[in-house]
Amino acid sequence: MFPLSEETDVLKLLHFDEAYLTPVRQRFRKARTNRARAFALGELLEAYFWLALGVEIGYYGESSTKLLAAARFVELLSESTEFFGTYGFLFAPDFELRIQTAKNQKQVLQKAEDYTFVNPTRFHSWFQRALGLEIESLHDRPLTALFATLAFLAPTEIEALLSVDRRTRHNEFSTYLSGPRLTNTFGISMSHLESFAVLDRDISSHSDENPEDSFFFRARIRQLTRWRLNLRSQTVKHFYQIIGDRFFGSRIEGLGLSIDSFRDSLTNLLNEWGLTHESSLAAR
Amino acid sequence: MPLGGSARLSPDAGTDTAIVFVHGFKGHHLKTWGKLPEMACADESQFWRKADLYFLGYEVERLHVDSSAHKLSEYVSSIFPEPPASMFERSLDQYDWTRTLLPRLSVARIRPGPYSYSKLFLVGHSLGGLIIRRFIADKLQLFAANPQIDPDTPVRLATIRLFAPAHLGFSPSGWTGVAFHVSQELWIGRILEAAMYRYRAYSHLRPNSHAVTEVRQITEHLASLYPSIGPLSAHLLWGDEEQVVESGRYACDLATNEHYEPQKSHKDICKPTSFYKLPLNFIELGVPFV
Repeated sequence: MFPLSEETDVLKLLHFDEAYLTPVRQRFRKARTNRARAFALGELLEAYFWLALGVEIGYYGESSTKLLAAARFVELLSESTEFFGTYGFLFAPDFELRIQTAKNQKQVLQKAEDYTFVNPTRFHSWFQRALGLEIESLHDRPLTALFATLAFLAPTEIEALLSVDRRTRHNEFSTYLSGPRLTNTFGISMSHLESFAVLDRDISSHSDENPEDSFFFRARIRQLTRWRLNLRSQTVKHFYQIIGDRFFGSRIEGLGLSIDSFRDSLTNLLNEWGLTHESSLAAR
Repeated sequence: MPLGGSARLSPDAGTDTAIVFVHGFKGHHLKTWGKLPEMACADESQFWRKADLYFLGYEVERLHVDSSAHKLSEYVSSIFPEPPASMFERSLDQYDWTRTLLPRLSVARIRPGPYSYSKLFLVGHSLGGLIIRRFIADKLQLFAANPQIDPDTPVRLATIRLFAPAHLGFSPSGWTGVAFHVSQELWIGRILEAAMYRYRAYSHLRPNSHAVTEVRQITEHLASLYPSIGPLSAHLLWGDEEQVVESGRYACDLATNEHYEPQKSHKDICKPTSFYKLPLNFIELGVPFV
């Protein structure tokens, strides 16, 4: 085999930069409203902690990752105090602490200190899969618009969108957004949630070797991914179910599945994967 | 990646095989295959270690088989037999954050060059199967006016593996509430599969539609002209619980190269698990060896 470690490391980081950071930074630069800017900043924050987790488990080399991080998170670090003041509730509590520590100690990357993985190498393929799923979702414009709409718009604005049957320009998260489009995207969001639920199950079913390692790795992934569809928010929960009912009405009704069974199964899925970061450590 | 999609490139210097995966209607270039990408990358056997995996990404909302086949043609041409070196190596003087690595590390490579393939596998699921067959037919039909001369196209080297292909058309049927009585793990898949039935676009690809029958006629005609050209004959893997497409084979597909797997549905058939490794074996070895 060809000796590649540093080269492979740089290539993986180049991929992360191009596939994740570039589109998110473009969204940040193009944001015309505070809410759109905040959503992009949230995505940048998530990116920061993907890199931190990657370093923590040895998927990314620390020195190369610091080079990338030093070049990409200037805005995040400079605007984090105001950002957490308004939207901190969306994220895992230790994210704010770690960002603040990084700033105080003038560190580029702040790793988690609550746990040290014993055998982190076995998580590399799962990390790659989870990151791939997340990158896919942030490249999916309708899905991103659905998440951002539920998380950042006021209930009256979401209601107004849902009542619109044709394309509208009323939303800063999408050029065209309407009730039917949100409903169409619901199927994608279910598939997205299920992909993470399956991943979680896969990791869990291979946790015999070191259950604590597995437990913390799963919790880290949950912390990273759940803010985008944060079902702790009553607005998100309320409207996600309404859109789900509409999806049932337009796509499933008449095929032999009752709406109660649909709702029950969706609730099971949300309970399995849709829990928020605060409950992630306590879950199972 | 050329033209969209994604790839899993092997670090093995002896890599000689390109495997192109083509998903189906409302599918996803990676999710369609479940754990196949990571299981294939973790597989230490010669075949998978020496293979680069390409997952074609394309829009199939309107089910234009011809244009999708054309896109596949461009995609395959861009990687087989000579993929661009830029896919495998990057010069580090072009990125702001890598400049401090110079001159010690000026280029990052996945594996040492030169980069070329001698083997091509085309793997399709559902509509992806029909698109692959259309692509093969289009490529070989160019030579049909002079059948005495062997077609001079790299595509003749291809090996075709199709999971529940729509090559005989879509025929959604038999969907009942019973289909939803499955484990939570399969439930979302069944929901999304059921939702697909509601797309009117299916009617363009009914079993007797022009788009479907034409591919079959051309392929069977070409197979009679060129009986020794492998990619005109496919290996086929179906689930016993197939409810989305019409199952069966072309006259040029051998009965011994067709297999029906019990307790598998349209969406599950191509997704390997730790207990169901058939998809990987099927791709590598074909039906007679699975």
